[in-house]
Amino acid sequence: MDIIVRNLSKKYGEKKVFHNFSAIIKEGGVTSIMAPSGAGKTTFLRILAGLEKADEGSIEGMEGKNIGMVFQEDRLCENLNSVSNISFVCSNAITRQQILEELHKVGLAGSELQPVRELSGGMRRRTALVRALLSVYDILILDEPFKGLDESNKIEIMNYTLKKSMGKTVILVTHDENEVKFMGGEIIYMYPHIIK
Amino acid sequence: MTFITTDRANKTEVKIWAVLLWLIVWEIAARSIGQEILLVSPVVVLFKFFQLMITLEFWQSVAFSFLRIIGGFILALCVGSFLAAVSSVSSFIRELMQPLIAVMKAVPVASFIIIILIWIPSRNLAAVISFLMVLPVVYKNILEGIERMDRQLLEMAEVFKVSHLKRFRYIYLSQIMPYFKIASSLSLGLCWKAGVAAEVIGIPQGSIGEKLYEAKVYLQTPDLFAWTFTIVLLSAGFERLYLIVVDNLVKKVERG
Ligand SMILES: Nc1ncnc2c1ncn2[C@@H]1O[C@H](COP(=O)(O)OP(=O)(O)OP(=O)(O)O)[C@@H](O)[C@H]1O
Ligand SMILES: [Mg+2]
Repeated sequence: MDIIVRNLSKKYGEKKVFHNFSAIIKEGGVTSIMAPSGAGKTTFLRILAGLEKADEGSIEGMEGKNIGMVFQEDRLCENLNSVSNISFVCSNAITRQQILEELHKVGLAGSELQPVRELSGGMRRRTALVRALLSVYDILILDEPFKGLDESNKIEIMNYTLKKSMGKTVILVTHDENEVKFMGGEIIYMYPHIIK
Repeated sequence: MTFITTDRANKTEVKIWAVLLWLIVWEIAARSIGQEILLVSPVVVLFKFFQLMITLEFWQSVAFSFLRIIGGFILALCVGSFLAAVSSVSSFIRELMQPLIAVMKAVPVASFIIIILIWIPSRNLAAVISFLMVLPVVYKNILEGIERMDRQLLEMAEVFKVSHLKRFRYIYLSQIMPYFKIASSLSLGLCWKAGVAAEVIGIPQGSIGEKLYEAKVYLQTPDLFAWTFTIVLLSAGFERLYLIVVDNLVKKVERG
């Protein structure tokens, strides 16, 4: 079932974030959302994830769905290592060995047992990404997931993301045209309400 | 989250040479005064301390006061944490607690001691006083810890539908622990001071406070100092041990 967004509006106090925003997000594919900073991309993703309520409008197709998410921030448990951060969210069926293998695939071999507060920005980002990809989800929400990765690394990580999320609905927010091209699928442009 | 950086810890660390210097100053002062009743030499205090230590009565008094003061401390730790947890979810309970906690913080220990003495026999006075001193400290610190909890992590756990047990183990525990430890350290110092003060006033038989009182009455200054030394050792020693146990427990729970 596609996700259908109808006339969604959101205000913070007097400040309109977006107004009458509508979109269709296809099931089982990648949809990229692009918009200038402050246009309300993160706010929209938070509404999709049920963390925020829209003032008006409706969203269909999210009911009862499991969500995997990479937040705009890493949101890792600082004292835990990458493995523990990941096992924190995933089902018990996934073994420690499997988690280690996935971490190796994204180039985190050797630092899996360090508390994440000691890892670099890019390493933390990859940990957050693997965490989302190994969680139980129908819909994967990614808020600038490749931010802070260097270019050579990025291709590999994007490939990995595509492979792991095959067949699932992926919603990607990014500022980077190249990422959108690489990940394929649909594109939604969100404009600030002022421009409309 | 660390509140005391290694840098600051080094600056506040007690250096052996400074301790020795002060001990020498003390020794010189005691010798030049030359009257044991006024100021007793550190060597005599240490000697007296070892003399006391080989008596059964010493250990009985230590056990008597220790059990009561630490008993009050542990009870306050449990009740304080529980009340803080309840207050964090219910503004009614929180508002209800506010005046009680404010009173506990504002009333002088001496007044508490005398009031409580009117109500209960002096035997368990130290436990009640220790409890009353520790409760507000624990309550306020834990409540602050809960309030400063990282909302972003809680949201993350919510989105991924992480079980409440896991949330408690990996998010709540590690975030509240620093506050819990600060509260414990603060109140361990407090409860010994207040607990012994209570015993000196209530003079329960077989307590450390009774020994201090007797030393005062019979002008046995070496005993007074030796018992004081004992209290400081007990208080500091227990704090160390306590923090080690807490750290290990937390590690165990987090590592699973
Ligand atoms: N909790 C909040 N309270 C008040 N205003 C908020 C809140 N969250 C977001 N906003 C405002 O809503 C607007 C949209 O924010 P949002 O984070 O959704 O933008 P964004 O498109 O994700 O931007 P970026 O590309 O910089 O991440 C901003 O102007 C922001 O200041
Ligand atoms: Mg954003």
